[in-house]
Amino acid sequence: MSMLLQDVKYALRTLKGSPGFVLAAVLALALGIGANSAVFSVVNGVLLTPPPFREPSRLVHLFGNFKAADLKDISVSVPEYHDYQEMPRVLESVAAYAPTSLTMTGGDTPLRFTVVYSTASFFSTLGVQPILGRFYTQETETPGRDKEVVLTQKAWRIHFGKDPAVLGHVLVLDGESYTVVGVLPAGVSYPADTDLYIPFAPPPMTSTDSRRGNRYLDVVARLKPGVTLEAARRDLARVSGEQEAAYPDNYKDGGWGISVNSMEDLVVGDVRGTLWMLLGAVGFVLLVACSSVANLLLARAATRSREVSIRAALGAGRGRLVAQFLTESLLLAAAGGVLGLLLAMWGTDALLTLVGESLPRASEVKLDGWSLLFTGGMSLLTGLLFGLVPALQSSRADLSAAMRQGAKGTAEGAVKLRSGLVVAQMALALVLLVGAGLFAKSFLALRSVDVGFTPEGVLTGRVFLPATRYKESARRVAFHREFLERVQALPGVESAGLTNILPLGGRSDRSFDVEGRTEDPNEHLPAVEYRTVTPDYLRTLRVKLRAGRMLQASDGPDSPWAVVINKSFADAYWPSGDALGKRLKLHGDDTQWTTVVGIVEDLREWNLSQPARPAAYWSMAQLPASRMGLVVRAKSGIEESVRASVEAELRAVDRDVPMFAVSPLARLVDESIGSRRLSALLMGLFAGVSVVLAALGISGVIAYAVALRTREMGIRMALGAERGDVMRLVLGQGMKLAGLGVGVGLVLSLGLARLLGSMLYGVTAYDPWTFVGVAALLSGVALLATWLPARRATLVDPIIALRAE
Amino acid sequence: MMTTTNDSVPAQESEGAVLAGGPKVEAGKALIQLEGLTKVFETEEVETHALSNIHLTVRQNEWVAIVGPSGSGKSTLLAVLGLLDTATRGAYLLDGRSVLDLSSSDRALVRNRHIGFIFQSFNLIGDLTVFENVELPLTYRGMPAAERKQRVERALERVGMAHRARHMPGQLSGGQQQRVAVARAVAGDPIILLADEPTGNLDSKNGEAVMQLLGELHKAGATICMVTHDPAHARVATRTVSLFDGRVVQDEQRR
Repeated sequence: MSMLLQDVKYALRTLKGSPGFVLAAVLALALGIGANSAVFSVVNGVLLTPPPFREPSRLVHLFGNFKAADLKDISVSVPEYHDYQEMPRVLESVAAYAPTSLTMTGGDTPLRFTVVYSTASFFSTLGVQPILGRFYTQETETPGRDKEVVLTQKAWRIHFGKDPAVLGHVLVLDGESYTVVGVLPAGVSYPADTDLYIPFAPPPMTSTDSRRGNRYLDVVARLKPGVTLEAARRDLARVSGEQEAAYPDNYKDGGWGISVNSMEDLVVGDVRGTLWMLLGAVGFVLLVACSSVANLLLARAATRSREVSIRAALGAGRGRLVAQFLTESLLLAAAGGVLGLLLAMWGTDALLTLVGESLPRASEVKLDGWSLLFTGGMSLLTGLLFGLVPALQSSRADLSAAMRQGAKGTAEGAVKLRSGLVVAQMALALVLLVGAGLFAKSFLALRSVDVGFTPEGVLTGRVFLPATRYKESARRVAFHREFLERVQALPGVESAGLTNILPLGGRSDRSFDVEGRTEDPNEHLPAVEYRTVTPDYLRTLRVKLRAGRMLQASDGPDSPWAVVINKSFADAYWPSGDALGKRLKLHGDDTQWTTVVGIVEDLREWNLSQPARPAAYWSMAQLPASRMGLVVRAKSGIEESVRASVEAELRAVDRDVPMFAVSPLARLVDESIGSRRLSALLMGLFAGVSVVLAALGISGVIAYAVALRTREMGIRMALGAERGDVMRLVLGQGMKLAGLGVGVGLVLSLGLARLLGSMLYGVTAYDPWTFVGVAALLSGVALLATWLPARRATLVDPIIALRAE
Repeated sequence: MMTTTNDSVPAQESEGAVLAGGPKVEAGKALIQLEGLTKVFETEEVETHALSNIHLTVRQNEWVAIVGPSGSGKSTLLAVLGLLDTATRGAYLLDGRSVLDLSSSDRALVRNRHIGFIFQSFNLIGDLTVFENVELPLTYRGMPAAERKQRVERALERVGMAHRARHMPGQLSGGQQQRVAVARAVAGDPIILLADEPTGNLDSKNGEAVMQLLGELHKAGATICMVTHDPAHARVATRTVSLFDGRVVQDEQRR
């Protein structure tokens, strides 16, 4: 202990004497540790922290699939939900739910809540208990007896000030009164951002087999103990087979199946790969930082070789010397860890801001005890990692050096080791650069995708009409007309429109028949992206008309039904180009044969990285929606006044209908590629830091080598070498290291690139231009970094150099 | 001039230990015995015999001056004696124990407990105070703090540097630094002191003072091997061993 304290005391004193070295080392470590801690806190919150449910690994989601129609992970119908209650052998319990949005009235202003209709089994399936009151019971699943509501902790806190007397309180949601019966524990809000839960009480008719195709429910289930995901899939495959056999009309299109996904996979989605990739990348940054500090330590150790010799001469064994050096390394690592933690606090917030709402479970991300433990462990590990090699190298003392005046110790050995570290740094930096290059190209490719509309200058918002007061189509149509007339009359507004789903706002598949088209029994049912829009919707988005006309005000409820289709739809069903005038009919009781009146260019309605799907735009006057997205094109940019004016007009039409999720359309487009932007940005940042560290590393090593060879330079110049010869000699030494690093890095990159393949768009993982480009870039940086010490070498005065010994 | 080694030096009468409290050594006992010691430096093309077939015995309380021209092997011999370097062939008994084949850590242990070094360039560690420099070998020995303090204070008093205990080496003159180095060498009560040109970096006045200090240590019972190229300082020693081309060419005993 006394020895350790002495080592710490001495280490602090020697470090105090080298403020420049300490600053450089601590900064490099803080960058590495801080970046790792920040990314870890995100990984921990999103991937590693279990959901707040009992044994979450037993929770699964059930989805329907029509493989032949390429319909994956679709919702289920009420009869199908009943099947899942009865037929599987592997499920302990099953629950159905359907997210929606309801407006609470009765206060000063209407408030919109994200609400989930759920069966009573929902909470027991998840395995949660109320912290206040109770959950609703199965009796509430009957229409008329379903007027109970359970609050999430967030809603309880924000809207009721955590008042325990909230039980029994009546909330008016979309005109219906619901009694508060319970409050959920903190952190339980599933699906994410749910405010309230109300009972799911389907009308009896929806349970009939004729409604098997009416799929709008999500299903969560709890596996029996010991049942694996694979076993569950086998059992549900049996169930889907039995469904297909029992109801051939409903599943005749072939490929019907039930997918079983773990809840954890579903919640995290495709972010999992990205986050692990980023954690790996930031680990590379830490390795580069460790190499840099190890390099600095080796350089410093070279100046302390005489001290080491003296200590060894006085009886310090190698273990003591290693312990002394490691103490210094660990102190540096601790300082880097503390500073890194501060950086991580800032970095985590920055990451969450950057990624926006595209990160699932973002609310779980915080620098908690695990993050602190990770940072502490990371600091200890880095201290050992960058300290051990220099400590071992430095403790290999040339004992007789203590006897010699001006002995330089083990400089040559250290140069070799430092050169090795530089090669490693260059290689790691190249790997990160390749990753950054690929992600940047991928992101730029996505950014340059022709989305088919002009998002700039368009404000969007969502408006949901309460079903109780807008049951009749005529009332909804009247609302649409009046609201849009008022908005379009606003001085700052160029045009406005309504749609059932905003661009990039979700999918809505509807099956349909084409007039005169004989159904092929082997062919799956045709499905189309269903949109119902007001006449100015497509014009407001500046969608290009290819043929025919846009929807018009005259396409009203009493006119013949009209539809505008996109190019993909026209090409798929009328490849000879004669789509105009053809008729189609959506499946359902409330539809009519509809004439194709226009063809527009494709819009990327679902996802920028996926090609447009066949889509059709019906007239909202003929298929009036109650849940709508509003688009408003402002005359001179989106200003707060435009938003305020639109909201005022909405209140004027119906004071109990709020507008929510207000956002510029450009931001929605941007957020849809948020995770890709994050990947590109972070990889770029990581690569940038690594390149700077690698450049400093190679520059330092070459400068040190030049200093050791000063006399040699003097002799060469005395023998007639010109400055150019010396420059070439030094540059050659540097570029040899750089070339080795680039070579190793290219091999590593080729090995790792395949892992990135699924995360890229518009560029292959082995894009030769990226590989060649970053290799050239890194070589250029290395050349520049080597040039500085090389130039210094050319300025050596031979006389002074020769006298130096 | 003697051309062969002489290992029949008469036994010295002595009290025994170098300093009070040190390991007791039998009077006149052979502390260092070298038999056919050879040191060869090999490079890719050249083989240099730094020491060739050295036979040498140093007994307790001898003060041996090792002299010879530059490159004669003086410092190499001292490095081998101090276990800072290893011999290529031959035998080396230190206090009756063979030390040539010791492991690195055992050599460090022997250096720490049995050998005191005084270097030409003092070799104090600049970041440590005078007290800490003297304390350093005792720290490596794992000695308790209180005993360390006692020993360091005693050693510093012995060389007249107790009043400078809190100073840093850079604040001292060369002579003072060498006195501190001597204090460090004797603080651990070694059985032998090895001094490599102890006055080489000092002016004549300070050089004389250091030689006087070594004389006092010798009178108190210390056994000293000292490399020097100054004939006057060599004459102060009780025995002079002359090297040439890595061989002992003269071994002169004085009373």
